[in-house]
Amino acid sequence: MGLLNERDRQTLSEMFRDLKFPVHLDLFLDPVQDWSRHAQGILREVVSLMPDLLHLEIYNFYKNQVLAALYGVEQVPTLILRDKNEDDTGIRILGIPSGYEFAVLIEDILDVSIGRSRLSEKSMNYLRNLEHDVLLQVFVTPT
Amino acid sequence: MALANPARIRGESIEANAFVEMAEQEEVFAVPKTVFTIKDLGKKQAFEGALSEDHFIRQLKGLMELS
Repeated sequence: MGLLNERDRQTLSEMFRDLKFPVHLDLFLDPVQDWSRHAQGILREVVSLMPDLLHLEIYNFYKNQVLAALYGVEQVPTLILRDKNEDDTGIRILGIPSGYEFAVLIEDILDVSIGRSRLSEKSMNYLRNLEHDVLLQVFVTPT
Repeated sequence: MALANPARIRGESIEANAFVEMAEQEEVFAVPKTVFTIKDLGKKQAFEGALSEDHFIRQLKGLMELS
């Protein structure tokens, strides 16, 4: 049973035509947790629409503690996006990527793949020269 | 934002219903809610509602300058 309907799949396929470089999606999950399984199901369907460029890796959080610690993963499900060089982009999606978070996921995949930014040059310069680590957490709900 | 400087910035989109404990800890009563944390300065600030880019950068600058 598909989680995405035919119209979603078509819309996504069209959006993914803009993809340029590979994107690596690393999902840390708990295999027996419903939220984790749901997140995995959605991500599998999304990457199946562009398998040449979208690479999904699934990690059992409890069996990959070292890697999880390296990425700062403390909760499941947590999705990490890495770019074409397999470098961490700093982008994390916590929870099931559905509703509002689904839109966030797709936009983030496109941004990473295309290497685009929607920020002004002035903002980019400021952010590039930060002297401290910053954590930005945006809490959302599906609707 | 994270893409501008992945070494320094981590951007998390958190589904509040799945992480109730985290949401309660950050006192999330309305969404979107954005929480800025600068750990090594011990600074934290939260905003409810959508933030414009200018507002966002101004707030971040303010937090940094207070150090």
